[in-house]
Parts: sequence; C-alpha cells; structure tokens
Amino acid sequence: MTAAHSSQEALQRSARGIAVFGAAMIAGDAAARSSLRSHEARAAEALEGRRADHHDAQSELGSARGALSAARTRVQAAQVEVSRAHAAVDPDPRYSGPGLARLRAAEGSLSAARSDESRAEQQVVRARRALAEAEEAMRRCRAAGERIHAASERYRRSALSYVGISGALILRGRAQLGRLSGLLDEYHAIGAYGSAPGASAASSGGPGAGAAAGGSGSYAAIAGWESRWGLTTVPLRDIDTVGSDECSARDRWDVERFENALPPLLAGEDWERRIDAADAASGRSGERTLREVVRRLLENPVTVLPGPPLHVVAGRGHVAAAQRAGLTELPVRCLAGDAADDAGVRVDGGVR
Amino acid sequence: MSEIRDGADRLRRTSEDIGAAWQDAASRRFRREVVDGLVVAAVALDVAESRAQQEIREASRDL
Repeated sequence: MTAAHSSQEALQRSARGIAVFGAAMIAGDAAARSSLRSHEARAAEALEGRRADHHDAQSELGSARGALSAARTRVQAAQVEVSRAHAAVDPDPRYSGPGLARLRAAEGSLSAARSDESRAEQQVVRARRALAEAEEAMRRCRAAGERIHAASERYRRSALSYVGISGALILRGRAQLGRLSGLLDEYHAIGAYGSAPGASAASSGGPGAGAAAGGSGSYAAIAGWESRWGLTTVPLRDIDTVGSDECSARDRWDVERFENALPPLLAGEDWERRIDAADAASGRSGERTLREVVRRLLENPVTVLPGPPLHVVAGRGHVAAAQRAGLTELPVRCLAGDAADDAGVRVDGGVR
Repeated sequence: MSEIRDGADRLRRTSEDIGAAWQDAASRRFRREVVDGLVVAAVALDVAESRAQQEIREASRDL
C-alpha cells in the first residue's frame, strides 16, 4: 500500500470512526433513557402499591374503631344491667336467690363486654401503628420516586447537552475530514504535475508533508516574524466574511503551506536560507515554492481597514482560503490613519 | 455506554495514527477540535449515566 493510499485509508477510517461513534452515542443514550423510564415506571408502580397499603390501613383503623365503639356500648349496657340487677336483689335472704342469679349473670356479661372492649382497644392501637407505618412507607416511596425522577432529569439534561455538543463536533469533524481529503487530492495532483519528481507529498503521504522539510508547529507559537513585514496576526472571525468561491487553488495552496510548513522556517535571521533549503529539498520550483508563498502571502499580504469587522481591501482569495481551511488566525496588514483614509477613498471609488 | 467509550477510543487511536503519519497542523487540529471533544463528551455522558444509575439504585431501596 502506498503512503497516499494509506493516508486516504486513514481518513476513511476516521470518517467511519466518527459515524460509528455518533451511532453508538445515539444508541447508548436511547438505551440509558429507556432504562431510566423503566426505573421511573417501577417507582410510580411502587407508589401506587404504597397508596393501596395506606388505604387498607385506614380501612382497618376504621373497622377497629367501629368494633371498639360497639364494645363500649355493650359495656355501658352491661353496667346498666348490673346496676338494675343489684337494685332488684331482695334484702330478705329467703327471697334473694333469683335476684342474685340475675346479678351474677349481669356481672358475667359486663366482664365479657370489658374483655371485648380491651381487645378492641388493642386492635385500634395496632391499626393506628399500621397506618403510621403505611404513611411512612408511602412518604419514603414518594421521596424515592422524586429522587429517581430528579436523577433521570439530570441525566436527560446532561445528555441533551453532551449529545448536542457531539453532534456539532461530528459535523465539524466531517467537514474537516472532507477538507483534508480534498487537500490530499489536491496535494497529490500538484505533486503529479509539479516541476520536479519526488515531491514531499509523495514521500510522506499527507498534507503535512511540508512539515518534513520545514518542521511542524503552530505559527502562533513562533513570535517575531510578523514584524518583518509589518504584519499583525488577527483572529479570522474579526475579518469580514468572504465568499468561499473567491479563492483559487493557488490561494488554497498558499494557505495550506502557511499553516503546515512555513512559520517554523520564518523564525531567525537565516529564514531565507532555510526556505531556499526547504524548496530545494522538496524539488519544487516556480510558483509552488515556499519562497513564492512568502512573496504572495507575506510580502503582499491580506490588507484590511480598521473594524470591526476588519474590511478586506486586498487578499480576499487568501481570506477565503483561510476561512475554508478552518484557520483561526491570519497575519494581515492593518491600514490606519491616512493610509486607511486613502484606501477608503479607493474602495469607495470602486477600485476594490 | 461502553460502546460510546469504545467508539471514542477507536476514534482517538485513528486520529493518533493520522497525526503520527502526517505530523501536520491540520491533523493536530482535527484531533484537538473534534476527537478530543468527542472523547470528553463520551466520558461525560458515561459519567452522567453512571451517576444517575447509582442515585437510582440508592433511591430504589426506599421504594
């Protein structure tokens, strides 16, 4: 497998990885939500059970209170009968037999009624305890259900955020991979008709091939070279948006070389020698050399009027290429004072 | 949720392969802006789900 095929294969693997990741995230989130819904349903079902238990306990207490009331009524009736039987006992011992018998029977009934009353009272106590327990169980169950619902809601809110972020990242990733793939094709195409064989793209197999000649690194991390051409590195978002179709293949080439190969070579006094050496090592000549990129992008840079937003008066193709490549910063020449006024006149005059 | 973490791990390995092969700013940006973010989101989602399940397990004792 050639290096070029290997790079394309790596891009395809990345694209597949993103697709698999996106599908797994959606499926995983759906499974988690389903599990949480099931827990919430179980909690609701449990609460219904506790409510039924509470209702039963209330009914039980009502029955026990009814039984106690009936028992107390029987005790009162028995007490009345005892009083009456006692009053009816003949003081003459010869005639007191039937009265005493009635009194003993009444006292027996009273004793039985009091036993029933005692049992009914115990039953009421037990029913009250059962009702209190049922109320506590229902309260705990309701609180647990609320905690389960709150935990589920927290997950759903978090998931909404994370899945949303992932969706945006996946879109960005696809766009970047598309750009990388296009860049790779362009790079190989350029290498194919380039002025010398053995272009570095073919040797290292990717858009970063120039890094082999010039080293890699963030241009933002290498300070000082901008002042050589009176440039300022500004956030791309501060610059007026330019139509993506306004850039040529050469503009895109310049920006790609700038992003991936050029800045590390610009540091230091011997930058020209290093750039020439990198061009010689790549075997390129003509407009595709780094020397020409420097001339087009740095010696004749993107020029802007003060903003916001910064208005592009020269180098729209490079701005479009940078926006298309997803760069965050770009070195520009900012016109100020008289120069800005002059440029403004020229712009108004239709030279733009 | 383990599928999400696996997917994120695979994606990270692939991006590391590309980064190692190309050594350029574009692949570094892809890893920094896309893959790292996806890995973080995957871990965060996994943590959120684990936390929710743990809270539910504890609450379920009172059902």
